[in-house]
Amino acid sequence: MDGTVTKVVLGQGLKTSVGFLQMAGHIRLEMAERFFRNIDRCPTFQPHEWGCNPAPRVNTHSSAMKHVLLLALVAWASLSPAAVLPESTKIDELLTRQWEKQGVKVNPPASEETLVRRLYLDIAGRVPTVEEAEAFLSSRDPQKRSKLIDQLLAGDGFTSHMFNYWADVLRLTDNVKGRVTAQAYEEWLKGKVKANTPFDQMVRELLTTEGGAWDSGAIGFYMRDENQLDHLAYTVQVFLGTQIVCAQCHNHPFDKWTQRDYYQMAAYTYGMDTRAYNVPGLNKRADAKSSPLPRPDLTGKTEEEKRQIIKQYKRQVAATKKNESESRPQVSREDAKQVREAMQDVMRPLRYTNINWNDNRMPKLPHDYAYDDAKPGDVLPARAMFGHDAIPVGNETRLEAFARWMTSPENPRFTTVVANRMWKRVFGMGLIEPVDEIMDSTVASNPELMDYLAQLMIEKKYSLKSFLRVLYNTESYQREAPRTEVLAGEPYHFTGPLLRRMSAEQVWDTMATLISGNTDSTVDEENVRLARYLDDLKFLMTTIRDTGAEGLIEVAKKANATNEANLAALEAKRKALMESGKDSDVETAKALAREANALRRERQRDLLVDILGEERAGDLRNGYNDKGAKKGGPVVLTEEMKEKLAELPRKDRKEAMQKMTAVRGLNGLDPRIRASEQPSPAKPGTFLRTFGQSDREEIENASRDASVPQALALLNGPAVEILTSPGSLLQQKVSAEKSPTAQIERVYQAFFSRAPSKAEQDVLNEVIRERGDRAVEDIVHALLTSSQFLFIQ
Amino acid sequence: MNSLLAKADPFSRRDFAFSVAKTCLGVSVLGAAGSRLQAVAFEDSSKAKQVATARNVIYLYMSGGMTHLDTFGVSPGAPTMGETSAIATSADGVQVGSMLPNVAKTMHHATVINSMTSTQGAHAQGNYFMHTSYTPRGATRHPTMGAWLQKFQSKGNETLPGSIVISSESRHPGGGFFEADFQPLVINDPTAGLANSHRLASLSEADLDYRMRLSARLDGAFRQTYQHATVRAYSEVYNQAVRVMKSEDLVAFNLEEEPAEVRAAYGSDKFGQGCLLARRLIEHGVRHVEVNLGGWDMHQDIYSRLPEKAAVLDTALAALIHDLERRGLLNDTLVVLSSEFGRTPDINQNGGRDHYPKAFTSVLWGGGVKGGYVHGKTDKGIEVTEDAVNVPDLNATIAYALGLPLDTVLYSPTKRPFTIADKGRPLTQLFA
Repeated sequence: MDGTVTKVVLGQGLKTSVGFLQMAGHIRLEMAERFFRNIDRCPTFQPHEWGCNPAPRVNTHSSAMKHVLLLALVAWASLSPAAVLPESTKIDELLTRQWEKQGVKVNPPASEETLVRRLYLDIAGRVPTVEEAEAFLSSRDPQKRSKLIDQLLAGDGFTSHMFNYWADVLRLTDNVKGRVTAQAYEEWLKGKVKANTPFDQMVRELLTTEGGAWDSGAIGFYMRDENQLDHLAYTVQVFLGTQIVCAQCHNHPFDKWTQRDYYQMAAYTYGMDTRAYNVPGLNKRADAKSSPLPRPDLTGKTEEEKRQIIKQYKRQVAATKKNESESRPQVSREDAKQVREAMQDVMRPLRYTNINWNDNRMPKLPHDYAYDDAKPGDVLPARAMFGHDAIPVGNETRLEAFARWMTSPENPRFTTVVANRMWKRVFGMGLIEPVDEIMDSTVASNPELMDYLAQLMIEKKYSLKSFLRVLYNTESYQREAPRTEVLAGEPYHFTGPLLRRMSAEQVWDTMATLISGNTDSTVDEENVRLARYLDDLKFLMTTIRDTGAEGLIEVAKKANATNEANLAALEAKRKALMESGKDSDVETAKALAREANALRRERQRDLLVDILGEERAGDLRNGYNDKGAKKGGPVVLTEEMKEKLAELPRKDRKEAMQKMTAVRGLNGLDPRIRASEQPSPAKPGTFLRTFGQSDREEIENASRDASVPQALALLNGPAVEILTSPGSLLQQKVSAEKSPTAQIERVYQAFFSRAPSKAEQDVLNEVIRERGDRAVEDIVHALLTSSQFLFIQ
Repeated sequence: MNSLLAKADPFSRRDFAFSVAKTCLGVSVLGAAGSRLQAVAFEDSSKAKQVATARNVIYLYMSGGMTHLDTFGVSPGAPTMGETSAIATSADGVQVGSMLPNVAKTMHHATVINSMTSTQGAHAQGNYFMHTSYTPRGATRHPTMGAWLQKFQSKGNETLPGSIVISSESRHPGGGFFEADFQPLVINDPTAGLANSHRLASLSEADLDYRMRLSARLDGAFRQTYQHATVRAYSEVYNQAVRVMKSEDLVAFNLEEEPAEVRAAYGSDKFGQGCLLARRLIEHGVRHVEVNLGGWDMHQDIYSRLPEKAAVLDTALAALIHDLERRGLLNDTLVVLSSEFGRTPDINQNGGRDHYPKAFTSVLWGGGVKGGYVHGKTDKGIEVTEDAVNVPDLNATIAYALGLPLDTVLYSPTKRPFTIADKGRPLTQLFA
């Protein structure tokens, strides 16, 4: 039977038919499940293909089958809201079992109005437009929920929203040193989210990518902390949900980790050298005598393991020798010094743009290492902290072995952590809390479910979209949020997703939606200017590498000679100025400094031209300026907005434009571009930060707390004026309605995806009577400052 | 307020009753009732009480881990001092780092706690511990001193927030599990004043009031359905926002009111202006103000980065102490300088210092503490050799200065009991 049906039906039509079959009792549930597991292996559901065509494909071969399908659709529709994916059903069953055991009352299904707003906010990170909500609410398609889920998962809203999440987890910040790499890292991450790269693969790329930012933005991962020793602690906390930071300095007081464990783990990643941008043969650090390779630790290993380890060790020793002979300077000391001096300024833009794996770079135990099992200054071999050991196979470096170890389904924590994180993202609380402080004694609130989720993550080959799709399709997710508050630390049985305040980015993107509709297309993972500048940097890097120290001696000498001449000239000038005695000392100093800078720039330019040629040197010197690229560009108006503005009298038009730019004037941020496309993080004091966007200093540092500045921002900030200005989509749509009642209903639809209730309507009628023309603006402002606006029900 | 009270759970209602009792009846009644109730469970909390010596706190938080050896925990002549030397101060027998020449002139008002020690060596955890006296474990978020102060004693100015944090960092433990009214107001940029604190030009006061009332009415069903603290918090912050907007003391936020030379004296940077704002807020009745100075996490090249950072601190802190003194505010304002931990006595291979919770320094000025006094000793900044002071002890000392009951228990919504400074003991010997 499996075979026949598989051929005939693919995609979601299939689920429908099973819904029907289940209902009709033709096959038992377990059979249906087995059947689905087979289907999930069929190409339609390859996790990597997400985003291309989310619409279900129903491939029918016979009219008889069509008939069956139709019947199934009808039958299923009357039975909803049954979960449409077998995995979703499985989750619902596991939850139901716990509800029964605990005697908790389950929440009723959420209304469609609640659900459509929730789905858009949870998946696309913003409220639906009135049209989008309407399309869902008026659809009679029994599959409309799962279709909407698919549609949203495939969209750029998902990319943006998920990016914001990982940006908080990975502490992405693009306004520090190394901005170019940081921005390339952001783009890389957006690209990975958009392509739905399997999570394990994404993490392996983060852990092992070396080279320049022009090759891959993934190098931003190590560059974030310049791969200091504590970077490992962040890595382990984020991906293995385990806190080992204490063990960097001493044995962990509350967990089992020792300082030795820490250093042995750090030995895997420490070789990622973030200062590897120097000219080969000139880098003092590389030329310094490398630390000897530590002898491998063979205790407790099987014979086969020992053989592997020793083989690997020999390979490393050989590689080290080769490296050393290659990097030996072929130029005299004096020349090398000349080149180094001359190149200092020219090389500066390359700083923070390049990392390289250095097999010899190993952490040494600190001078105050206080335990008996090793001495201060010892170099310990890399060793994994739990699970199977991470031993290189074949040509793998120890870093690659580590990445494989970390992301393996065999790793006892990796899969659980990401499954739990995603669960929390959907339901508002993890099965394990906190998500990143797991110990041996940690037990999930529903261990069976946790196990199943980990298994599901593996089955879905770490496709986060496929995994989330299952969760959003559960009945449990589609229920009402619990009305009683679940207090931090109390057990919760997931009788529905929790009521949550929107994240700062969700608030922002919701504002953007109200002002200009669907803004998902502003999400961009390709910044052309950045790419061009990176290409210039790459050219500089490769040219210098190819030329090598010996090839640079002549130009360097020339540059240094110029420099000396410059200095002599400056000195002469200084003397002349002093003797003339006209200007004050301060003025003299300033003039000289200006002169010195000018000469220095000139010398740099000449040197760059000597190395790269006129054209490329010019490009590089123009540098990279992201202002006026996509972030904070001029106010862009949609055609529709332009038309509307054109209709206005001249005076009003000017005022409308001013209001549109008011927020930019205040924050320098454009309210019609999604949060993910703004500087990351936004500056303190901006709307996004006021609503709790993370400063990215600590892992998941975003806050959803209420604060007075938030209230003030919505009460007195420009938000309400922008919303009710003629340039705003909301205002335009409202004006298009004739009666005040219809106008206000429109506002309700935009804010809450629903019409006002009877009780609300009574209040609203009163407002219309009392306030006449001002009624709509009053109501917009009242809703903007309501708490329900900020919450996801 | 009544409706808020009606909705509150039994515990917060009792908290509320406590603070009302406190406000109306005075210290002793509540103190006695509190300690009797919890005498068994909280034997470990300090019973020490005194008449308050301080009314306000200005808490200067050096975020990132301030190097103690280069600032207030100097060890003259020791190799651990790096490139810093110790200089004499206005107090005999008290020396500070050579990068703090102006602060040196204020040390006759200061008590240096030279023997701080913490168990937390990571930033987030250390910061949390320093602010709350509890380590961040489990799901409870603990209140910070400003919130405790507001809880046990009244606000100094009903129309302004009970406590204010001037910081550009995104997270602060704030009021912890207390209600929204106890959350500090966070100000990112002191020079920008209180953003959005004035009504839109297009609205009359009556218009805005109308909209606020309308908002509450239209929000009624939602608030009724979800009687959650997180939802209640929003109605509360809107009420607070309106109170602040209408407050005559809103002017406190406006640094433009200060003469140019005063503004300049504090330094033009955010921290300097933040200290000035703190002084203005204290003058207008805000009783707890924290000012954050970040960037102390100097793992690399510490001596090329420290001069700039120390100069910012030196200018602002010296100006603050002088200004408070001149205005007669220093006697009842306790200025506290603190950080999550110190930095390693040894300079690392990158020319920096790493995290070092084992021994570090905090300093107190004014608010009834002895001037020119050093508490505790270390061996060259490496080990505490005398009078170790742990983090809860420091907080207990601050609470003691404010006359707060250290042994009174309040409950989190999960019914777990907490005291102001956990089991910290106040350093009563610091008080003159």
